[in-house]
Amino acid sequence: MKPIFTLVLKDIAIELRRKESVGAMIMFALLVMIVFNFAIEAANMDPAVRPDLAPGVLWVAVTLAAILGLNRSLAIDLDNDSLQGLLLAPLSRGSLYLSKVLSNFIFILVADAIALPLVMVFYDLDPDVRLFWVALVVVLGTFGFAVVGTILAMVSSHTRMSEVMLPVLLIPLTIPLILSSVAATATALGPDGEAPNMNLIIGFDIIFLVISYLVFDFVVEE
Amino acid sequence: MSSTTPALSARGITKNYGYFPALSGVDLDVPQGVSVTLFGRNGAGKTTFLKIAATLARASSGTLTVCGFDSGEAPESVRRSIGFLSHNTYVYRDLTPLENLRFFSRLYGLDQTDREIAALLERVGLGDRLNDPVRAFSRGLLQRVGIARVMLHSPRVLLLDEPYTGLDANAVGLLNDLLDEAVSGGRTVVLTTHDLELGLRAAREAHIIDRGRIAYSGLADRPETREAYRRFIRTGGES
Repeated sequence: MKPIFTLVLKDIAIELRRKESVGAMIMFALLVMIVFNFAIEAANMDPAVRPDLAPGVLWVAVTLAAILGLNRSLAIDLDNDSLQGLLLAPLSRGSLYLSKVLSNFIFILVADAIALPLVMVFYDLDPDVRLFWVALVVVLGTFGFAVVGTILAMVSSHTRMSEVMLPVLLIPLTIPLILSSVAATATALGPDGEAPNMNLIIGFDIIFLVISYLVFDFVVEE
Repeated sequence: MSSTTPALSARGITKNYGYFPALSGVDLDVPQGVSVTLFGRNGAGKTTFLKIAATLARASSGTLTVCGFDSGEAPESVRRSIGFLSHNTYVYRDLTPLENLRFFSRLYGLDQTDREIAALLERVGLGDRLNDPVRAFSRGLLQRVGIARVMLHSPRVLLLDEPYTGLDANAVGLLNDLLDEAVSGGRTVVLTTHDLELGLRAAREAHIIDRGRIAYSGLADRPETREAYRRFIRTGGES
């Protein structure tokens, strides 16, 4: 575990110095919510339905911000080909993958932590006990994005137009995750404040984590 | 590892990039404690061979061992035994030399103090630049950080791919001193370069790779080696 934390701390140290990835994600999530807000205002919708739109808007903001962050996440390691330096270290490729997942997860979570309160303000949601379930769905959903996005960012980095290739690959693959996260968020924010069913999200996270861990070796080697 | 085990042993190494054969059956044994130079024109397969030895690339077929460890079966042991330097230094431009080496030291599981790391950086002439961001460094200074990174874990085999690229005369002298010291300390050096004199300077053996094969092998101090270099590198093996 020690090398994984060493790698994560390095990513955090460089991000704190560059302020590229997290800052861009927060700004993008904010802009998405503002654009949706204007669109909903312009449509003259019944104010009573605004809370119903919150789960969808939240996950659009999280998805798009995550794509932006994931596209930048490898830039740290591709600058000066530093990734090769990591590949030369005596640790498994799987450890490298897990560290990158953890870094991306932390960075996207920071953006989530800003986006979630903003959604609650924009869509007239009361912060109450249901927030726990919403936060849990956001954490699990974000982890799924980090799991799939990290390996696809690595795959797309080997292609031309890598910044276009990542969303083209990521969005279709994460549709089950997005749909189940929106549904779970809607359940958590519903009038009964029920505990949402998160089995599909958890299953998605585990399956893709195991598969990505096993194939990462082949993705990074020439 | 017994004293007779080759530091590096390759048997029938092939590597294809799509339909392009970069290596076509390389056999090579490098004894322990010597310096060996690989010459070859651009695209001959030198870098590919070193990348396979460093476990950065996977051979299409054949076996390669470093210090007795099979690169396919024990890649982490191979990586612990080698230091790999190319014209890219693989260090992080956003970190200082001290932070870079501290990071790599932890990654290798070493218990080095900042004082020890600073002493290593002092040796490569960066004693007064320990806390400057690497981003501001010239190509030559960057390569010095790369040299320190390679030496950090005292590897038994040094794989150096065009290490002299971009170095001034002072830095070339420094690198030569470090390599001489490594060989006299029983380490093995496998070096690729286009520079005949630098390549032969301290090498015991020289090999020429041409079109993915070892086209010539000989002792570095023999006149035949210079003639082979002229034949394969300067005229492309035509005469």
